[in-house]
Amino acid sequence: MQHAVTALRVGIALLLAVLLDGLGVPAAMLLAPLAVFAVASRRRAVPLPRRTLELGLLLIGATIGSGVTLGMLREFGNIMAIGAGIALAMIAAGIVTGIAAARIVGIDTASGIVATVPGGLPEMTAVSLTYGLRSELIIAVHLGRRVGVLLLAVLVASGTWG
Amino acid sequence: MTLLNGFAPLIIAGIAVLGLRRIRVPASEMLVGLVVAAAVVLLLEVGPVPGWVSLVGQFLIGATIGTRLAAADFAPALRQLPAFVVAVMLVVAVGAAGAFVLARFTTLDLTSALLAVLPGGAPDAAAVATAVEANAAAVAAVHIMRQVIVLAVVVGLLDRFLMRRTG
Repeated sequence: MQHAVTALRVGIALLLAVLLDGLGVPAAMLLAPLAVFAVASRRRAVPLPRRTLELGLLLIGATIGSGVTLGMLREFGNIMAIGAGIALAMIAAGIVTGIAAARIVGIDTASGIVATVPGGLPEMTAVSLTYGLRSELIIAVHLGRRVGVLLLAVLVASGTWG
Repeated sequence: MTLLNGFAPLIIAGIAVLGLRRIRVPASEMLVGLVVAAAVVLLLEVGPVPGWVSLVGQFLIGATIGTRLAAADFAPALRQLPAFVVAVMLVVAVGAAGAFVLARFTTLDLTSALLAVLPGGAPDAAAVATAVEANAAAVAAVHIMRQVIVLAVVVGLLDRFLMRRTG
């Protein structure tokens, strides 16, 4: 019975993900199952196998890692070197502002840092879950940043700024 | 054969994760998967893992988070959000300033540099870059590198200095 309930939720989440993706919602494949399973679990909690999260982490990690190619490093050597420096500067800024924001609102430092560093939404939400951090806050902040930066990117691309 | 070629980094990364489970490796599934897959691609010159694999991973993580968030109270998070919006805007400002440096010292034009450095989603930025005929390959490359660095730094920081994994 539990398997049937989980299968039904997976099916509904997949349909919602396809719909949201078609509407241009970022990270639809993460957000749709999150919403469906959160709402459904409030009515009837059906735990997922413990390995579900670990498999998800492996799939994302391997996909990101395999994207780093030799050709990329050769072709964009100079760009990557400066880009790495900028990434480190943004991480440092994220750590400092994350600690400050955490102290202002009175939450743990780790949640503050994970909320503000410029990592990907799926990766940082997975990290928050792995370490038992404030997932709801971290998801809200990263989703807001991703949507905000997407709007900014469209402005840049349209020549309004940049 | 091509299909197997693309899955080689994932299969080897999976074996590495299982093998390293006995010793203590921080956030081993994602971090070991990332490092091993990168090493496999660079050393064996095989193709990258297909993009849809990441979507499956996102789906599994989304479902797990949703299940665990069912009992969460979102009201405090909404109250705390403004402080984090300001914090994130400062991080984005650092990135925007960095884009001008990137455009000044490399062959990238300013639009491509901004799309590469602004800390949004890699697929979003690459899609916008493609749409306006900016350097989408460089944009995607810088985003992937940033994700790798952030993940390594954050997991290292959490594991070494701030806390222990809960499961």
